Amino acid sequence: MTETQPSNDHAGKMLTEAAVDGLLLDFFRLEVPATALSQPPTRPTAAVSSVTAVRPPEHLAKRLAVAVSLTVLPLCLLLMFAGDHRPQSGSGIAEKQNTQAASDSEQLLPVSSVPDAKKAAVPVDENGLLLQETEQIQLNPEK
Amino acid sequence: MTDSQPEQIEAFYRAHSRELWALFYSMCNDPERAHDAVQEAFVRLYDYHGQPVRDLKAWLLRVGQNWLRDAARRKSNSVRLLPGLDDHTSSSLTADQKMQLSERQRQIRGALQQLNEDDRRVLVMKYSMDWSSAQMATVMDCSAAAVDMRLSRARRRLAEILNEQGFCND
Repeated sequence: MTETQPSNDHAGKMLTEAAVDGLLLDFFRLEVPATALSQPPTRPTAAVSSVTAVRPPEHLAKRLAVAVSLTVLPLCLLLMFAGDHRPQSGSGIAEKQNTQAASDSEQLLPVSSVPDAKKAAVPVDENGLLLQETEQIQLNPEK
Repeated sequence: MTDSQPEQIEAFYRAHSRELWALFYSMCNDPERAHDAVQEAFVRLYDYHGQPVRDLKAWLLRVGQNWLRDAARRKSNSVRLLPGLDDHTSSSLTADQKMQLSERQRQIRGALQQLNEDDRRVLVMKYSMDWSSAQMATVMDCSAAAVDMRLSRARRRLAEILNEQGFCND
């Protein structure tokens, strides 16, 4: 069986295998881009290659910039991190508190009542009065 | 073949571009995309500097096939009015006639799309390249009689599809 049998209202126009043969000949005559296929693709021209020749230095510069950035950025971050975290460490705080306490006690010594042998032996006035002797001074003399 | 001379490539293009187009067309069913695949394959051949290519046609076919697959993935379905017709039709056709012709091409293209790939390929080789059954048999690795049978079956199937679509062959 080589022909499609007519079976409906379009019976008179039903396509046969022979009709399809002619149909396909016409179809492919229009479908094949004959003109285009006769022209080989153009190879990249000198103008294009000159553009590509300019590219490598540009790429190198970009790569260098990226490499420098990638090197410097972690260093900056490291420095920032170290700077931010040094005073906040536990030993750092304790050390700071100790230093402050020591300086406070040094400042208070000359007026403190707490005996201090070293400081007590230092004259506190031009008559050679020692600090420990100042405790024996009666502020309310006997009448 | 590697680092081919432009003259060699151009000669190969003239000899085989139509065949490659037909094979690509049977895969994608789009004349312009098939043409783009041919162009792309040859452009890549120009720039190829790798291992020597033993079978140039197979190499080009593989490159074009890959390109078609990528193109299908991108789904760049730009609308093209009257694809390819301007290459062939003269200005003697009115706009109306061109539209009718375009619609007719679209219907047949759609019907071809519904065939299986083997049937479509045998029709494309026969009608776009005017190959003999013997030539097709070499490519399809079968006998000429088998090619004739496949051709006949493909034409019948296409007629059925077009009749189902109410195709009017005026």
